[in-house]
Amino acid sequence: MELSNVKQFVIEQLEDMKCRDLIEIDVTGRSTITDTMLICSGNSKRHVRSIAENLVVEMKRAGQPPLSIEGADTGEWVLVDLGDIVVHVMQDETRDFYQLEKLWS
Amino acid sequence: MTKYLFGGSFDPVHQGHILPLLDLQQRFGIPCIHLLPNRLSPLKQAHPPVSNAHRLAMLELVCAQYPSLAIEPWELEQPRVSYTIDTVNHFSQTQAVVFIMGMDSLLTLHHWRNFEQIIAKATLIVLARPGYDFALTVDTPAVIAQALRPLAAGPEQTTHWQPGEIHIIETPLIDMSSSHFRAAVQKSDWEHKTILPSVLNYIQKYHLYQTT
Repeated sequence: MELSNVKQFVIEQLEDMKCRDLIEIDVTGRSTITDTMLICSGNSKRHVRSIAENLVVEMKRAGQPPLSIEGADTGEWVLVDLGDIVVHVMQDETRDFYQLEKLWS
Repeated sequence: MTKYLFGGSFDPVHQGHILPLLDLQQRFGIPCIHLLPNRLSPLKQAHPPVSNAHRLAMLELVCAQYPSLAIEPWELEQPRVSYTIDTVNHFSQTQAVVFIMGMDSLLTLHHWRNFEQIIAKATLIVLARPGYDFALTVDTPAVIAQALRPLAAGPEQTTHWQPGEIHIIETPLIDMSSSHFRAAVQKSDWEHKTILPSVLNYIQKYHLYQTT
């Protein structure tokens, strides 16, 4: 898949799991680790986890397994690193705290 | 073996330094944290200067009370004031380094010498008071923003601290500072529950922090 297709695929997986407030930030040339960040919210520990787990499963199935997954055990903030895209799934409280959007805006 | 370092001037050491570390150790199964006293420039001290030997002696009293804490005197042994990057370089040659700091340090980290190298070579644990307003701004360099990571493991498991990652951990912080203590001592106010009694005795015995 090309990057734009991968991104569309990832967004579909997140939306299938009914994530909220999905935003996309282009960090090309600013971040040294990725080009695109996707940030979305889940309603609970379990919801955050299942959004991330579903994404991991579907990416594996699509032949593009994530490079790493962090935070799945706590379920407050799960980071799925897909290389060119980094996905942050967060509970509202954590999202409000870190305000990643603001850091990159 | 991972080296956990907590730097500070410890002038003097108080429970506001110690209790968050003990909390951290308990939650993440950290066997030993080394207290890393910084060299102080005599010119910068706004009070009667207290020697390195006295600051070390007070840290020893603390470590005698809490066996899970130890002293790392490396910075004091250097011929001149050293930067955190020097310390991280030194220890990361032979072992993984986890550098523990307060939120106020994270907010000024981008002014530290070679801060990108500090992040690249060590894991940073940032202690935050619950409810703390995390006030990184749009000026925060990408190197810091992209290093912010959720914790990889809970307290039950062995946490794998990766260099290049910054973890913010909420821990009960005590509203206490060395400067408050010094100001109180100037007024002969010795009611300090946040200073360990053995340290307080030491301060009184050697007349530290008192106007001469």
